[in-house]
Amino acid sequence: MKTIGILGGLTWQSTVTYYREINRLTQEQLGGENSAKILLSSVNFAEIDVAQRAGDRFKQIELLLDGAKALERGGADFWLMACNTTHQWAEILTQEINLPFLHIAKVAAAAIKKDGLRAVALTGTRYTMEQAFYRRALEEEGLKVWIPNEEEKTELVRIVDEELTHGIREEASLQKFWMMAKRWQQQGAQGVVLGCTEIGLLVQEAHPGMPIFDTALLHATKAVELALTTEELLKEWDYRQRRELQ
Amino acid sequence: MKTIGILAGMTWQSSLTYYREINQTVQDRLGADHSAKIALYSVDFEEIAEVHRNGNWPEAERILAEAGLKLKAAGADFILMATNTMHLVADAVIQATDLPFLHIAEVTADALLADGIKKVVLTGTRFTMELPFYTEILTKRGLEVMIPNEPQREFIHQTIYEELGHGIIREDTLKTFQTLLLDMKQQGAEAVILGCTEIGLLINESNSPLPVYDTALLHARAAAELALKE
Repeated sequence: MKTIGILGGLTWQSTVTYYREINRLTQEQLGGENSAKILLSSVNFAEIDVAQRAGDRFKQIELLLDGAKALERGGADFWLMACNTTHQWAEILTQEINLPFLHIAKVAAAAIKKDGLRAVALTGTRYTMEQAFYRRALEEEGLKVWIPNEEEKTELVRIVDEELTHGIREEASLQKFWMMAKRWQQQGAQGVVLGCTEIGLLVQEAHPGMPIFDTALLHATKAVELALTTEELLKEWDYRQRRELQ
Repeated sequence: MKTIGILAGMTWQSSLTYYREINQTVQDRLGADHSAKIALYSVDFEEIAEVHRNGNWPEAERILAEAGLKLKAAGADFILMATNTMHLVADAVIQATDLPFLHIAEVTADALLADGIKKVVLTGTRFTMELPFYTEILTKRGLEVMIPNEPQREFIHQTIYEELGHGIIREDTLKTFQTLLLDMKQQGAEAVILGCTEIGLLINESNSPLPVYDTALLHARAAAELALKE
């Protein structure tokens, strides 16, 4: 069994989801008393958040790199970031960390295509919805991506920042989410990507006729699959490998 | 803030309790956006369970000393083991890592003594209840330790392995546990140590006849405080 390296604490609530799911799935697949081999490097989110709000990209990268280097030094066999937003730095981070990297948007794209869908709405933090990195990662896989409008983005960000990062789950916010999803569906979206590990805490079940793609759960599931599989498949999923091929 | 090194996965359910409690404590102390700096290595519990079955403790020493070195390499400033039972091999981890080590029995003794408690019941796996590694620390600190009798130990041990370790919580098991604690109370116990990180999934302050010292929570909070200390 390979050791899964997790860069976590982004926020710690969503790291709990990863740790639980990875262990639950490992136990399910291997039976007995098995659990996953995990090296977790959990950072102080406040430091990242301050740098993010100040627009200090160098500080953000430095903090994430510190966390990721701990995974490399501690002997992880491959690594992932338990957060969608910080994937905006995936390109730079993977150049510095000499380990296979499992990219969350690539995992999400594969799951969407496997279900036969071609067009999805993308929800997440403001960075994830507005900056190109995440949308492009999905588009590279041949998907059409809807971004919520300004009003919808503001509401989604409020729900994440004021409620979900503090562990609060409001029924009213869940209803708002589904009202938005209905609008996106009318515009042609066939499913919704929960592109922020927190949003999965809110939307735990799909509505009939509107599939959701909980990126945290998909990511954790793929990590278990890779921990239990061959070097070849791991190589195939390594984000660095994909970049070299392009 | 110091980086807390956690030897985890024994079992992963109780490691989640540690991870939550440590982060919650840091969040309460420093503000909502803060979280703890943690390096955590989670072992495959099957390898540890195998040692529990065949008694090959040197194998456990090897696995956990190696995991401890991974935490050191990852930058841990001090180390704790998120388990009571495996403190049986604590010395191997301490020697291998040469890092400050936060021992769960010492943390528990601190909490009991701070509350003026003198006579206490120890519950845990058979290893924790029967071998000297845990009780020795408590008695050395001046506590009188009551160990459950043979059938009671069998019941507690089985509950941990067959139910709590798999996340199973049963009403009738809770009732039997409550009766056992009531019996101890009549024999003079002032408190109960939940000396296995799993027992807290079943027994807590609100359903126990004796004041509860949940070692996992005490240990996690002590780790957070140590990390925040200047």
